Amino acid sequence: MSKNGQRSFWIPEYVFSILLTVAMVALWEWLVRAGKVSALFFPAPSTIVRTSLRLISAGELTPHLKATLYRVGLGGVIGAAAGVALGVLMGWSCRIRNIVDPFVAAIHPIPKIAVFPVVMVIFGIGETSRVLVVAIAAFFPILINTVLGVRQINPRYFEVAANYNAGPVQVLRRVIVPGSLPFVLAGLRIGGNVAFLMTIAVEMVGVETGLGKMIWFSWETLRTENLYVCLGIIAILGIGFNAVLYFLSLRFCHWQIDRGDNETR
Amino acid sequence: MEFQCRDLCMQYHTRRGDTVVLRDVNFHVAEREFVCIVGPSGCGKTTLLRLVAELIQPSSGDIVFSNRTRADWSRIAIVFQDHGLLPWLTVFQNVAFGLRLLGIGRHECQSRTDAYIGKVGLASCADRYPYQLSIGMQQRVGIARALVTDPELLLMDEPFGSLDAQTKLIMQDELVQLLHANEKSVVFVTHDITEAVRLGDRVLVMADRPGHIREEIVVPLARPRASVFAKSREAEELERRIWSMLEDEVRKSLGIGE
Repeated sequence: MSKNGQRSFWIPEYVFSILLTVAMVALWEWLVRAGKVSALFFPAPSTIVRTSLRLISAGELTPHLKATLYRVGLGGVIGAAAGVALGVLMGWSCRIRNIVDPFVAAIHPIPKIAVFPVVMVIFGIGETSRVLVVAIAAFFPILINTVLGVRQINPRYFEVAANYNAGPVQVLRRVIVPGSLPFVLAGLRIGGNVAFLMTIAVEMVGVETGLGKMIWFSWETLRTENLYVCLGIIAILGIGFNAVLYFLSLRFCHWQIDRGDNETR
Repeated sequence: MEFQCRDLCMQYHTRRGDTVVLRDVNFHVAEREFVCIVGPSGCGKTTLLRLVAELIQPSSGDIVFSNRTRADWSRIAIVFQDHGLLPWLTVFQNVAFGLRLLGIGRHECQSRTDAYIGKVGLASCADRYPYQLSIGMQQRVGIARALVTDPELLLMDEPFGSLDAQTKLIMQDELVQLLHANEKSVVFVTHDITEAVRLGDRVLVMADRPGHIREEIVVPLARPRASVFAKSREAEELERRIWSMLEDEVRKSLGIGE
């Protein structure tokens, strides 16, 4: 909010975001039409929109989209479930953390796409390996955030629960889950985006369907407008996913976000 | 709830050796007695309170609760200096927290919680979150949460320590009123001598390095006592006596004038 309550001069930030987007798209369109940039490598926004409508109505896009969503969804859910579960255990128990931490430190920095061949050796060249490598990629950021989320809970809250003789299940439900939720949601946001990234990457090697496959195939056949359609769809999926998590954190973690001054946000 | 601490010792083992926090602490709290503990900061007052609450175990010595074991959990409640309210729960949910954990039914929980939120004057704030309250209001919620389970022993760890001087006076009045109708044994840790003499039946003066009870002072004045401004001469005399003891300790801890 502006100083001195001068609301009349105050324009919300999103107006600038929209204006900026419109300006950039318009500039792009003009550059292509005026022949300043190659329409082959940078097809005009209008061409991309027309292409996407054509691909959707012809049903060419749907199987690719479905395959990608399946891999991201299943892999993400498996990775998130494992990451949250192990993260809670590691955050809660110092002993488990000390045992597991070296493995996390060793495996986390390895690019997960580099593990893909190994996974394929073990689980075969099929959907299982792809979903699994996506799950592994999503697992680590979620694990690390969950551990942090549990550890940053004020020890006082555990004492309050202990004072009323709370058992482990009650401590988990009434202290650990709500107390770590802001960090877990932040972890899910990172993990979800990593899952997208990994899915597209995996699909570029040896699959029949998927947005990643479509991107790579479009590039090889120089149908760049198809490539841009895929990028647009991934961006839209990303916006949707992040928006869902944003609203979840507004709903369940307002106590953390609203803490302190509301003015500066 | 009557209890007795016998030869309580508390030491921590660290890599650089042992730190003795408490040595040979002996005291007794009678049924419905209000005992204040004063002492220089870092003398182990809070550790002592946490031992009584069994949040930690003593290195040696024991605490004996007369006629029943500590296992009867609903009988002890704690008020923390930082209030320890769960930030993700509303005022109502925070006050009801202990009741829910103790397995009290939803219906009874509702009525008892409402009653205590009313008693601390926060009925209009029941659906607010702790971050939306002032520090004084937060501590009132903390007190309501402790009292709602109707404990027999109330442990208060510098409950008004972070309040401003004026709010503190009001809160003392409120606490006196709340406890008047339904008396409990209270152990009240504070560093405010006036507060200790005003509220306590007895004042335990602690000393440092290692923490021990230096002296026990009986406040021979009937409770509840009038506000600080109607202080009796005896009360003033007691305060002066306690301060003369504490002054040495505080000076020692500051490293001046032995």
